[in-house]
Amino acid sequence: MSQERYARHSLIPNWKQERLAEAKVAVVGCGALGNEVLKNLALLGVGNIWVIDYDTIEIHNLTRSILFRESDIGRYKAEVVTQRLKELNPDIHIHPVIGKLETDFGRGLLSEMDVVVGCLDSVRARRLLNKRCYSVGIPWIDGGINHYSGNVALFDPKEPETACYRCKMDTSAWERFNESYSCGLLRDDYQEAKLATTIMTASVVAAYQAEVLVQLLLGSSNLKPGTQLVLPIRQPLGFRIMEFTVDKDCPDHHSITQKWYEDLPQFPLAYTPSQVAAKLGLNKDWKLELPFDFVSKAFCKNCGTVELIGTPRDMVRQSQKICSKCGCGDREIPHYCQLDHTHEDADQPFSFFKLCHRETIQYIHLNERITFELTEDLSLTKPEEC
Amino acid sequence: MNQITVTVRNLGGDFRKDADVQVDMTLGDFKEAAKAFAGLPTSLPCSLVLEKTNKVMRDSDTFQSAGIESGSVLILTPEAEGGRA
Repeated sequence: MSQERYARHSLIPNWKQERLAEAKVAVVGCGALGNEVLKNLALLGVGNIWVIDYDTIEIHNLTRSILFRESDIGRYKAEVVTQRLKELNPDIHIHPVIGKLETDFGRGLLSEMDVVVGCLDSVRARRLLNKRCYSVGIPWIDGGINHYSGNVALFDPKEPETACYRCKMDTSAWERFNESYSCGLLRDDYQEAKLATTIMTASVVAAYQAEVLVQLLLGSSNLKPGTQLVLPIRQPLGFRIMEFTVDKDCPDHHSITQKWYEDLPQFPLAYTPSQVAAKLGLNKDWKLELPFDFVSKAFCKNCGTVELIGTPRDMVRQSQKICSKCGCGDREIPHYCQLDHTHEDADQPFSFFKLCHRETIQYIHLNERITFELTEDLSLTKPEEC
Repeated sequence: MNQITVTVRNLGGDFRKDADVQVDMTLGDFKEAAKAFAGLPTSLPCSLVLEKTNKVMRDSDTFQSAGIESGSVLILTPEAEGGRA
């Protein structure tokens, strides 16, 4: 680390550049907010950044994305920001994850983060990030923008008496959460709402997200967990803080791990649930709990055809109700999130369930939960050479 | 007394309305009515914040169960949802 580069930071009382250099941070979403947040983190010298996004660059991104160029159109956002951030600051390590949070960024890896920054644009994505962060006990900073204002909120499972994103979801938020689904399946005709945003709101909100992150890394944040800062950007009204109430029935709060496991047993993704249960010495009373509802197969009641689906239920489209053989539009698409030794998929490899490297999952056995981590030989998180 | 008068406004202050409400009305119902008055789409998630405490009101609470007194001011705050695209 070049000391000279950070000379101005070293003038700030209680600043610890080494703490930033050793920090591990995940940024979920590489759009308008993600670009600004990542630029800030790279300039600050935050040393280890994981960037998660499955999307590619489109021309309309260029009005709010400092790290994208016109020549990047069609390339993966996570790949491009990795390249540009290394140019901004060669001291830091960037790890692109081209994929989705739930299937491509394992909770074992997530649990190693100091903080996660949410740069998302839907209630569903935020709720999912909240669920995963709470399941591993890692704080996250949410940002949201429109064309005249923005929000920054901090949610911290280490302070369970404070509200999380799930606690604050109101009736409209739940309607938003469900609007892309019909009868539990992804609507084929669903188009995500195009939201009006500007670089001004993105810059201000991302700056505050970075400020909260630095404060968390260096001690504690002045923005308290369970509160949200409202930043009216178009009108000079000053910031306003609002405090959410904890929902005592919140399932995400109930998922907070009491302790994090230091030496989890690790097994390859090529193993099956039955094999791992045997290796862990479990008798046949085990149940395996998947991190999401999973659809293994679709059954046509009309022609009897069985088709392999092998996808988390959230990713199954309505059109998959239609039988590819006879055209009947009412296939059965059963789902499950637990399986036992009698289940027909108990001898499928873990990779069949769309679980990724460093995902942690649990067996339930004699009222005890046994956690383990999945691994593969080639790391998804290998830093990209630029 | 089953009715109280409250004020609902937006953060910018260009929308402000006094309303007589029944104390057993839920804050979720009141919020939906306020969104309509303010010209906001019903699908837009909004928070209703009690100005005095900065606490976000829960949809399922009533004015009575939330302890909201006559003369209170509530701030209707739309959620900024964008960021990724």
